[in-house]
Amino acid sequence: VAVSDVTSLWPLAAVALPALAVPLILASGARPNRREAWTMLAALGTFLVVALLVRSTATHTTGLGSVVGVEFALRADAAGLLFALLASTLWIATSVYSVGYMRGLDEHDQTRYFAAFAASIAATMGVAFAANLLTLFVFYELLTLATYPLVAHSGTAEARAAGRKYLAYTLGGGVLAFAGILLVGVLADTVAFEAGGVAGLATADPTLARAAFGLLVAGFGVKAAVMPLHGWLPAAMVAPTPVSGLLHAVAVVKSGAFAVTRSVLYVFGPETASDLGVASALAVAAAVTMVLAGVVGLRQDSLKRGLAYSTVSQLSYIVLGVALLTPLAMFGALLHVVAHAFMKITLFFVAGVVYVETGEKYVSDLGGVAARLPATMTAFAVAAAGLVGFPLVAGFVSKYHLVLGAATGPDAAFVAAFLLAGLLKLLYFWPVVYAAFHGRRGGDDPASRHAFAPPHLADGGLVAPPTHDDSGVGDSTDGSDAAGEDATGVRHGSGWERRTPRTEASPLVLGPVLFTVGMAVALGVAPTLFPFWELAELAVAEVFG
Amino acid sequence: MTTLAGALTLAPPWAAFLVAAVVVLLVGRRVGQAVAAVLTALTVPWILLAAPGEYLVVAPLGFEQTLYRVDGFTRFVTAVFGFVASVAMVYGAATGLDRRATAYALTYAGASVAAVLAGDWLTLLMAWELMAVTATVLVWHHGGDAVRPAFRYAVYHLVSGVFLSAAVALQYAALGTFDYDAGLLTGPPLVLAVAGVGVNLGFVGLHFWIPDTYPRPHVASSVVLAAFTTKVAVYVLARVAPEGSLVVAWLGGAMVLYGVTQAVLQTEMRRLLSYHIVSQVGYMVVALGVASAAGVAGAFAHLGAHVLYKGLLFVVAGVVVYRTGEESLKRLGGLGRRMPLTFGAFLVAALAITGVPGFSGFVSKGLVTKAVESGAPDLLWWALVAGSVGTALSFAKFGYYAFVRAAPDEVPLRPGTPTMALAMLALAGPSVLFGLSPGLLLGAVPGDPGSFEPYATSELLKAAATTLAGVLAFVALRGALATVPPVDVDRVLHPAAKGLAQSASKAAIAVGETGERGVDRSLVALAPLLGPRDVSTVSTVGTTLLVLAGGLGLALLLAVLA
Repeated sequence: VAVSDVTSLWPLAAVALPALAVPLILASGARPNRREAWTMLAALGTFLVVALLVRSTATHTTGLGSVVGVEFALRADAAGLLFALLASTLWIATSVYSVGYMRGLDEHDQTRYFAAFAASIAATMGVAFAANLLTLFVFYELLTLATYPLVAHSGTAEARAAGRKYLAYTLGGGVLAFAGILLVGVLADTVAFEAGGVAGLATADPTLARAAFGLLVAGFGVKAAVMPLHGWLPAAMVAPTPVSGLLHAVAVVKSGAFAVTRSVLYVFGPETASDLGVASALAVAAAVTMVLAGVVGLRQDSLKRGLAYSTVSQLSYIVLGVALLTPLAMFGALLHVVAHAFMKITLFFVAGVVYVETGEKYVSDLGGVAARLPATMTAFAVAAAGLVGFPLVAGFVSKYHLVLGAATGPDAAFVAAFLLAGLLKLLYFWPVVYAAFHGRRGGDDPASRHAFAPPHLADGGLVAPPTHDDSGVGDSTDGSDAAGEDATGVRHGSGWERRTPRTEASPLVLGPVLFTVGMAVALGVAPTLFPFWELAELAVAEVFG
Repeated sequence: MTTLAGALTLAPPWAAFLVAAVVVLLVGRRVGQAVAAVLTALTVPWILLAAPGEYLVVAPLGFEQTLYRVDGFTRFVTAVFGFVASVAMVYGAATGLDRRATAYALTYAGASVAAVLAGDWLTLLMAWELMAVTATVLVWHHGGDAVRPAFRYAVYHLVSGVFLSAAVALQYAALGTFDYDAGLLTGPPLVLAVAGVGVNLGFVGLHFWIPDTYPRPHVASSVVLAAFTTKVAVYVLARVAPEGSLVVAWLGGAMVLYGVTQAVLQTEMRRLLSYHIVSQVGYMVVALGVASAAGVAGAFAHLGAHVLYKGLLFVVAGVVVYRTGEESLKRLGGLGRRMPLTFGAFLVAALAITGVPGFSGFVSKGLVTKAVESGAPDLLWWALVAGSVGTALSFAKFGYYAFVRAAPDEVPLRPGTPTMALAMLALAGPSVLFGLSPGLLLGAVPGDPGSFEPYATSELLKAAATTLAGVLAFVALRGALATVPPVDVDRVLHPAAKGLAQSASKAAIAVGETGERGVDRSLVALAPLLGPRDVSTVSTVGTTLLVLAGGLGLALLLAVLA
């Protein structure tokens, strides 16, 4: 297991490449094609750098110097590489998709959008490779700032409210985490990550150590959307869909889950966390979140909000996997970081394709939409099956490792939490699937209706319901759109124009959908063939020895 | 080991089902279904000639898994499945099952065969879940009023999968292996597994998905659905609890009586047959609960006989639906004269399920009853006998209303086809053959029939008495039966489940909002730090970008200096 460390600039390169793209993108604002070329080049470059690091037999580190005696450093260990490889792979797919999406909707301020996106990826790479808590904290906060313009992109009152809420939650969490970091520094004399935990914490005062754990986990738990700290995530769904896809299903939320993983397994370590009794409290919170978010999600008619609650629930799969402190559960948690990313980004991409192609964003308006978008909705069905935990899709592999980890863990009751959460996913997703394939547009029959979500009850977790005058595009059930459909002279049983996969959507948006869903299936059939598997094994071996 | 026996272990027979599914999608419907009928029929010699052992041991998910296990249990069940799948393809061709539905049906049947041939709990679990998905898609494909029942079907079967998942996980946690060995450990694994398998078996209370879904899709899809899910569950019950259990036997006895009672009250043909699945599977569950060598043999003999005659009954009902366009016995009549071949096929199947000497059900049900006689309380034996009387009654009713009595209105008939006749003959053949030479059936099943003599005088007397009692009961109760409306657990169960999901969800949202308000309020203090509320987005965003660029620049500068 002991891989030797070498000093190199490669980890820094992974952070610097997307960061360098930011000024270049801003400077090419007048020439969209050149601007997008910078994004693509940076995405491919970042991926190549991370791929090189994955292939390397040594663990690469870059020192970033010290400020007032505090060391900043990057270290590309197995867990960090897993996260970085995932984010950089999906950045490529999302960049292609973003071009199709933003141009398809003729969105304003595209330059700002692509610049902020690149900045977010730079910060994500920093989170992945941070060698200690302070470095992690800096990049974690930079990620918050970089994603704010993306959340508030549309500039409407709703978007700005969501943006403020997002900042308030995540920066507030940051304050807690920072307090926790200082406390760890005082107790252990170091804030560096060490697989299996820092020795100093095992002998520290238990009450203070518990407090440090609580502060770290609560602080980082905001981005991991552990209830009741999850409120920002459904609100942030006002962002453009590629943002919801890559950042709010993968990069941002997983940097929260990743920071929790680092805190529990690389700062406290399984033994100390177990001795202090703090891990079981985290496990209970995660188990409750898993189930409650699934239940709340049932009532969401807005497709993206439904997906957001599903994300809240799935993130807690990861947090619970970490908190169970068994090798199998940790392995399952790391696999689930990857599996959930490919499945959930597929679902968000699909939601975006539906919005770009039809203007609809509520489940109750999607009856029969599979006639219009056959390949897109098939991808949705496959990814949804994976999230439920059906075999041959990535979700089964990770979820079953988590279930086995829970069965071998301290309390077998957590097995029930995982399985119940899976059942709730079926109750939410299958009605979306059958309505899309077998419903009729605007139909009132049971086949066109979600079994649980009342139509256009968009609010399910916000304090103040957002204003729903979504510039008219969302409310097309009652007449106006149907009339347009008549004008084209095409009417089928579904109420949608029938299209084939060749003509249903731009290849720029359909291509990424097919790539991510293909990966989700490949990871479900032969997960061991992908480097994620080995990286997860390595990380588990490091932590549990 | 001959080379052939070895060669047949290189790939599992379910591969043939998947190849057939692809072929059907690529070539025309007719050719595709013909190829599928041949490929699925190949399963029978394939599994019967393959050398016993465990093959295709792989570890795609990090655990050792056996995809292809050949032993006495898997051989018999797979051969029966292959035969009935092939006939179902012929029948699908005859009744115009479309290409996509045919492909879904083949995938579902393939998943069922994969579940049977699995050599460990993990592979079994995966196939089990895939059966649920593929069957749901098959029913969904029919559209219309099949869509919501198919959703309920998916929920029932995911619940079943949840219990089985938990059982297998606990087994793994205790033993560190997914190997079959001697069934699941007594305690939570066994209880959870029996509950999970119980959903698929149709334990009373968990059974409603059977009459809810099976009557709805295309008639050929019904034949396919009726053949596999419950029978795979019977096979898995034998794996899960090889030692049996009196509790399981009693649960089976309840299925026998409840299923047959509901069946007697039904007027829709395919619904009546669906309730008979509950009842007939009950016989198998009772026998596996007893779990003596004779019990196991009886359960599997009854499984084989049942798949064949119940398949034939669904085929017959489908032919009636196809040719008359009517589902309800209330509007049928006089078909015996107008559809003599179909009537003949019905008689064979009805006599087989009733257990009349000379037909397969007589042999298999006789063995089950015999095993119960020596291994379980008397009351259970009487439950089986009462079930037989009810079965005779309900098929007297089916036959009378559909074929014998004068029709209330003469419905016009679509012409039958030779392919339909072929499907009926193919299923009727073994039902008679196994009745006339019981050794063929009893020699093929796992377990040991022991000294069982199907044609002993006591057996003949018992069969005659129950059949006669059933027919007489029908004559006496015919008028009264028509006045009793059938009511099942769905009236309570489904609204309760939906209400629970919705009220839990509403409550969770309310609790969440309260909690969130608290968090929000504590964060209000932070809000002024983020700048005045009415500032334009553009300038906030501009500031943010500046801060961001500065931060990143600083980080890079530090890196270069260091």
